[in-house]
This record gives sequence, C-alpha cells and structure tokens, in this order.
Amino acid sequence: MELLLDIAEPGQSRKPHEVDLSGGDGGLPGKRRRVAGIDLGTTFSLVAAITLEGRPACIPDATGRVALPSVVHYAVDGSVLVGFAAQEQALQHPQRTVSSVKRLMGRGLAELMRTEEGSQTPLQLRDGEGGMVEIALDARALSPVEVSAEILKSLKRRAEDALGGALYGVVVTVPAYFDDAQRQATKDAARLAGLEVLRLVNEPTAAALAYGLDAFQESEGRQGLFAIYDLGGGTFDISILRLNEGVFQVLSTGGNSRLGGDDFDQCVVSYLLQEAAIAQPDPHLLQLCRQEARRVKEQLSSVEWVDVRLPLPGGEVLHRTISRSQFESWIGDLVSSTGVACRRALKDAGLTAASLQGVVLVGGSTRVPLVRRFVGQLFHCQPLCDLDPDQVVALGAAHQADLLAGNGETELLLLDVTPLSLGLETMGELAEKIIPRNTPIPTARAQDFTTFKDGQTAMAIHVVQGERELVSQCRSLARFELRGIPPMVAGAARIRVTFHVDADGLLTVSAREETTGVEQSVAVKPSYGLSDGQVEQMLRDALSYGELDLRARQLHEARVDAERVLNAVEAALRRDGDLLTEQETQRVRTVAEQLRQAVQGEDETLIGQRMAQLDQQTTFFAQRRMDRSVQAAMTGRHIADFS
Amino acid sequence: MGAVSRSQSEKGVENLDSAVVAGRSCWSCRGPVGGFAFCPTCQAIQPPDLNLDYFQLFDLPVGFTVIAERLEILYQKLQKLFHPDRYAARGATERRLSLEHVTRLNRAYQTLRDPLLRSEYLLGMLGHPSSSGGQGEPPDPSLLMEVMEQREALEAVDLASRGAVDQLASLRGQAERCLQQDEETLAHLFVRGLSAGDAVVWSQIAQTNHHLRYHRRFMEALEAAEEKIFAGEV
Repeated sequence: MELLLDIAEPGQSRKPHEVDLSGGDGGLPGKRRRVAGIDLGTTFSLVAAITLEGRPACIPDATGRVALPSVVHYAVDGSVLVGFAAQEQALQHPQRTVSSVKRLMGRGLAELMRTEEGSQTPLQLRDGEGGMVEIALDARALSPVEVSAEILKSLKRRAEDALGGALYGVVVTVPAYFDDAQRQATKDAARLAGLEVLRLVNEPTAAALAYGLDAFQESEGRQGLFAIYDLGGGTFDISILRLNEGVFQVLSTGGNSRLGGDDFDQCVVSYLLQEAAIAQPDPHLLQLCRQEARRVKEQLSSVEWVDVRLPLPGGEVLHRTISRSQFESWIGDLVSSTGVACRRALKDAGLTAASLQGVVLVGGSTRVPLVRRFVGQLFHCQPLCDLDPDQVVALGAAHQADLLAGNGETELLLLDVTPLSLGLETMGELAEKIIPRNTPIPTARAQDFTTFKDGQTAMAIHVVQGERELVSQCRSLARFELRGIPPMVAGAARIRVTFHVDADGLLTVSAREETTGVEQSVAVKPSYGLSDGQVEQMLRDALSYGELDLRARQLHEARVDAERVLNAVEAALRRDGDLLTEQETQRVRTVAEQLRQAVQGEDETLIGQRMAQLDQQTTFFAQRRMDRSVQAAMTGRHIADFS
Repeated sequence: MGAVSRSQSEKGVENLDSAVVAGRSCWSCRGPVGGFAFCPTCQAIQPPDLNLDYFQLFDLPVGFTVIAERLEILYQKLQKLFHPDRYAARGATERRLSLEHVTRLNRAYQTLRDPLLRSEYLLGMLGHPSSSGGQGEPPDPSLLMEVMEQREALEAVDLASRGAVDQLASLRGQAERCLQQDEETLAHLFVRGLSAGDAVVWSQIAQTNHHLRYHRRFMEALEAAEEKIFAGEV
C-alpha cells in the first residue's frame, strides 16, 4: 500500500514524464534526462545543454572553445579529424578535407555545379545514390550525410563527457528554409552519429526561444510580433513570429538555403584571383584565398581597411589593400537580395514592417556592418543583437531539448510552418500544390486523382517541392508507382493521395485506390538522403550505435508504458475503488506492485509480462466501471455527475 | 485540463446518442471516458472526436463571421493541450493521439482563418456543398468580363518602367476592394442562409465563392509581378 502511494499520492497525480527514466544508464530516480541542443552550422557547429542553474550554455572543448569548425579531414592512414585539427590540414590536403558540407546536404551534383562553390570546390564531387552528390576520396565514396555525422559524433562525445553519461536525445537545428531532402539528410546524419533526434527545430525559431522574446512587453498594440533575420555561413532565413503567453507561433518563413557568409568570402576570393590573373587556381591556392577572404571579411567588421599578402604559385606575392567600402560594393547585391524574402514573409504573414515590435539578428554574418544597416532600414528599427549571434541557435535548441524531454514544467511551446509548398506532378508537367507554404505543422492533406486511360492499372506519382508552376523548376522529392489499380474506364478510379508532414517538417506520401474497396497503399519517404537500410548498414559498420543502445531504448519505452499503466490503475482505484471488494483491491495492488518492481529492474521482457498480468487482473474492474457509467446514462444522469 | 477542452467535449456529448458516449472507454485505464478529450479518471489523452465540426472544435458560433483574435487565442490554447511536443517523452500511443489531434486542429484553424476555405466548409457543413476548384456551375459572365479587364490592365503594365510600382499599387487597391466586397457579401448571405435558408441563398453563396476564387487568382498574379520587380528580374 505505501509503495503504491509512492507512485502517486492522492491529489498530486504523478505524470509519466516526471518519472525518471534517464538516458542509457539504467535510470536512477530523481534525475533529469541528459539532453543537448546542436546547431549543425555551415562553418561552425555548437552543442549546448541546460546547466545546473537551469540556464542553457554552450559546452566548450578541452581548450575552452565552444565553436567547432564544421570541417572534417580524412587522413591517408584512414583516421578522421574533426574541427580545428581538420582545419589545420585544409591547406596541405585540400582534397581530403571537407568544409561547408552543409551546403551539399540533400543536393544533387547538377544543381551544385550550377553554383560557384560547386564548380570551384577542391573536392571531387560526383553523382551518388538516390540522386545525391557524393565525395570521391581514394577508393571510397563519402556522402555528405556521413561527413556531417562525423561532426555530430564529435559534439556528442563532448556533450556526454560534460554531462557525465549517454545522451537521452538531442534537438538538431536546421535552416527554416531547408527543403524536405535537406531535413531528411540532417536527420539521417544524426541517426548515423548514434543520436536520438527528439526534434528537428528551425534555427530562427530556436533563436527566438533563446532570446526569451515572449518576455517582451506588448507595446503600442503590437502584440509580440518579431522578425528573426538569420544569416549564417551558408544559409539565410527570415521568420515572422507572434508571441503570446509562452506560445512562439511562426506566421511565415522564407529565405535562401544557398546564401550566406561563404558567399561574401567568395566575392573576396574572386577579387584576389582576378588581381592575380589566375583563372584556374590549384586547390592549395584556392584554400589559401578562402582563409584570407574570411580574415578580410571578419576584420572589416571592425576596421576600415585590411592588408592582404597572398603568396602565388610562381613565388610572387600579391599585395593589396581592401577597404570596407570596396567589400560592401561587392556584397551589396547579395545583401539586398535578402530583402525579397523578407518582404514576401511579411506579406505571407499579412503584416507590414511597421507592425513589428522588433527584429532579431542571428548568425555570424549579421556582424557585417552593411547587413545591420540594411536590416535596420528594411524593418525601420534598431535590430536586437544582445546575445552572441553565433551561439543563440544552440542555446535555443538546448532549451527545446529540455522541454521535449519533460525536464521541468513549462508553458513554452513552438509552433512552426512548412517553408515551401509541397505538391504533385499533374498533366502537362505542372506542379499541383497540395500543401501550400507556411502551413502550420504537423499537417495532413488528401487529394483525389483519377486514371486518364481505359484499363489503366498503374499510376506514376511524382512528389515535388517549390513555388514554381513547372515541375522542372521545382525540387523533385520522390517518385513512386501505385500498382494494382483494377482495370476501369478512364476517370472511374479514385486515387487518394495523402501528404503527411510531421512535427519535424518531414513529409510522407501515401496513395490508395478507393472505388472498388480494394485497398492499395504505398508509403514513401523522399528518395534524397539515405534509405533506412543504408543507414542501418552504416550504423553496423560504424559500430557507434551498438545493440546496447537499442536495448536501452526498448527498455526505456517499456518503462514509460508501464508507468502509464500503473498511473491509470491507481487513478481508477481512487475514483471507482468502491466497485471492488477489499480482497479484489488487494489482488490488484499486489500485481501492480510486482509490475512496479519490474520497472525498477532492467528486464524489458519481465516488464511486458507483468503488464499483461496487470491487464488481465483489472479486466473485470474495467468492465464494472463501464457498466456503472452506461447504467447511469440509461437512467438519465449525465456522465459529468461522476466527475 | 483547461476550460476549453471541457466545453468542447460537452458539446460533443450533446451531438451523440448519450448511450454511445457513455459506452466509450479510455484506451489507457479502460474506464468510462464519455466525450472528453482527456480521461476524467487517469487524464490520458483520448482520440480526437471526429463528430465535432470545426466550429465546435474551437467553441465558436457557427457562421461566416469569425473574430480573428478569438480564433488565434483558442488555437494557441488548444495547441498547449495537444501539441506533440507536450507528449514527446510519453508512450507511443499518446504521441500518436497528440499528432492526430493537432493535425486536425491545424486543418480546422487554416479553414476558419481563410474566408474562402471557411465559406466552402460552412456550405458543405450545412448540406449545400459547392463544387470546389472552379468546376460545376459556371461563373456569371459579368465576373469573367471583370477579371479579363483586370488581367489586361496587369499585362499592360511595363514592369521595367519607372511608374510600374505605382500602377501595380493602384491595381492592388482595386483587387483588395473586390476581395473585401466578396467577404462582406458572404457574411451577409450566410446570415440570411442561417436564419431562413432557401435554395437561392445557397447558390448565391456558391457564386460569391467563385468571385472570391477569381479575385484571389488575380491577386496572386499581381503579387508575382510585384515580386519580379523587387527581385530585380525585369
């Protein structure tokens, strides 16, 4: 009896999530779940967690640096270096060192080659499986997902060292404007690194959470409306949010997943190469130019001009002085191009710049003075930049991970939207939108289609993403065929195609023929990224996510479920205990106590057995409870009278 | 649980045979759950009640006029109760039920906040479904004339010229007035329809939906032109 009261004392029913089942190591009561937030950035990545004082903080490496360069070096001897160590190798081994891999995520070779960075990269890129680009290195082919997984593994180790044990789960951030293929690739990378992804969260939304924008007072009737302007190393996002009583609701989002500080660097690189009169730089020179370009860009945020001395292959040294105004003239068009997405996002939210309470700057590239001036003019206000723009996304992600793990009570909630319209190819190679952009997620939409030929038994379904009318101008996400349609005259079949977008923003599409009652159902995941089989194979190869982790997770699930059942039984006894004799009550309690003991142990099968036992032992109790309620309804009493 | 879930649940009860409702049991504790969204005994989240229409879901009066602020507040309140983030650390069944609730909630929210979707939904709910997507009854000729004139005016704008922005702004003003007028007409017609609905009113509503749809498409074309200018694609 006392032991049962331990689960839930009357009046303060214990919710399942308050029961500690912390990640990985058995779960001692009273502990918080170990979770972290990861900002997987184009140039830098960070990991953050909630400190003992309850505030999010970025976790530093052994030398005290929090930012990990998103660079991975594959040494000739097969070893892998990540971060600063990899960066040091970039000059000597440009073809064995991968940087800015985020820009390759979920991308095909053809579209990358159309861009400057694709055609100028020192890496050997080629077409890989599923239409995704891969990096040729010695005899291997590396997918961008694998490279990203190396960065994530490094951050995982750092977090586990700092938190003192295995992680229960993580939140990984993605640019709000990432399409489905890019999101899927990011999630695959996390799985490959042996991380349980609690949620993919959009970077600007995470930043808003870190800023605690909900605490801002409503002023002049502008009820908590903010813009988040996020210009990182390789991506640009704009999100418009409404904040009200702890709810962060994204009204609209927009951006460019191929625009960022790297492009500013590229402007400087182009200038240097032009001045050196070198059209085809070797990988070493290109790498040197990049490093110089970054230095120039960063210094020009605080000084008016910077000297450059670039050693050229012939032994000459190129000497130039670059002024801030020169730099601004090169990047001017890139910066103003962000204005288009901002205006569109405002329009989609049904707002004007004047109705905003403020604009928040996120991402290292917002340190560039021209960017700050531009944003200030565009939104008619002084941008907020109190927090470190490099860290704010990771801090918000840590906060959200903590919320999702159920560590502590909170009223905060993030509501997000789809960044791009999702649709299907229809006759004439036109894209028909099924889920328009800026639809709140999770969401589901169904659309009916029919056959156009007599006796047609199969139908090709082509899923696309984007705003343009022509399929060729949208991104192709998946193709599959619905087979086994019974032969009918044209137009008689009714094929229902259903789109589901989950809380991570990931799409699943299914199709079914409905007229004949014969059900055919196919579910597909977008073909970009890796198939589940591929990921599993890689996991086995990598041995980073052993059987132990998997068992721990199953044990965890069983415990969560058992706690729920114990909770339910206890609640039922409190409310309807009078339906049982003292002896019957005792029997139920005994079996419940056995289950409770099993939950304390490590045997998942035993938990399952004891749950089944308890289920069996309470069936008659459930029956009596239902009988009484039906009886009451029959005699005209409202169900609520029992409450 | 908040007041919102209670009141909507009670409405659900009224709509159904009380014996059916009384016979519903909680998937978790297997006790009686009635029409409640959360089990009155063990608090477990229950499957969404698909018998609730979107107005009942939000506890709003049935009608075309929806007060936007009220809808937003109720939407956020319901999200706080049902959102998957709240159930991320719970068991698989709870996670799935939360997803079902919120998927439906988002659909309802989008429908009610958009005048055209709202009008179509309400028409269908009241038993007079109009053909959506512009099929079925043809729009009246005066509408087609009007839209053709607007389109011609839009095409006549030289986007590269200096006056283009002003010309588009003037067309936008016209288009916005059309949309506003359509909405006012709908509000008026639905009041009539709901008090003493005759076949004429319903077909007038269906016609007005056509107007709204055409005017929207024109607005989209106008916005595409504006974007071209902003993006410097002219």
